[in-house]
Amino acid sequence: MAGTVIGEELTIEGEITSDEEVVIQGTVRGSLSSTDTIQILSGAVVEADVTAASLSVAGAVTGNVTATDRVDLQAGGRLIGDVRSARLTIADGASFKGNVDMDV
Amino acid sequence: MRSPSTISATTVVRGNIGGDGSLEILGRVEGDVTMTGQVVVAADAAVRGNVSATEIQVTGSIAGNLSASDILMLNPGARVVGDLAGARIGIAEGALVRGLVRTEGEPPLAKPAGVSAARPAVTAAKPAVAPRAAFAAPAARPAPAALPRPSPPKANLSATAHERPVMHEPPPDSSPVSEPEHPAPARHEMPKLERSADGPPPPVVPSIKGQVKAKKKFRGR
Repeated sequence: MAGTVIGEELTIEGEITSDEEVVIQGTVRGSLSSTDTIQILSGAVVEADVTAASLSVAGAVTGNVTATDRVDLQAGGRLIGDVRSARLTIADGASFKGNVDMDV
Repeated sequence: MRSPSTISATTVVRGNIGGDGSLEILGRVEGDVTMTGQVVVAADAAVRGNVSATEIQVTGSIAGNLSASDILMLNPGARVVGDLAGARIGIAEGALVRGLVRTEGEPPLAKPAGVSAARPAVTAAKPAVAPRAAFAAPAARPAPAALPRPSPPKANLSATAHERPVMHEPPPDSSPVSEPEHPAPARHEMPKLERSADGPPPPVVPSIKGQVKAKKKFRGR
């Protein structure tokens, strides 16, 4: 089960909620939440607050990010917004602007 | 490269979806879906909103208008409440439809939108035109009634007084319409209305002396 895939050519303006893995390759504006993994692939544009169990970002995200487990900002990824997560990795080559709150 | 998009069973999208390529909906969408390509609404999926695409395959339920520029297919189990439009439409046995079904060979993508837009537009246009006409008519009346120059301000006041009832009660519209036919009685009526409506501010009248006398004469009668 691949879960939800928002393809490259797709634009969603609104609210997405899911209990499965969500893969974003296209454009999402609004809000995005899943109780599972969210992957924002290279080329994706997300202008939304993102909530997930685990989040990996290789595309561009503008908005606040909350993850119950982890956030991985991968090389080439771009994140503008605050991150609230138990674990956070930022790869070499990623851009990030925002505050981090790791629930210390 | 167009990758197929999927909205999985537990996913809910509230908002509009648009783009190129194909989209498979297994979950719920509350909003319009506009795609160039194929849209599949699977068995347990639910869409509340209009769907337009090149090809639409429905096995789930949709509340909204569907328009396909090529094929619109309702498979067994499909439930659609809304109008169907497409170059080719198939409704399988076991599919439920409540709405207008129309096949149209030519550019169907634009038409359904035009039709849906036209319906409200027509209904909206009718009331819109009527009030405008009502406005225009009273507005025109004060102009001829402005023969005595001092009265224009009053004429305007009375005009507004005319307009307000006209807006709320269409029937009185007919009686004022007859007024302009007899300009003389119209003049008499104007001051009468002023008196009743503008009882408190009579000082306005004396500001213009010469004409006021004439008016007083009218009132005296």
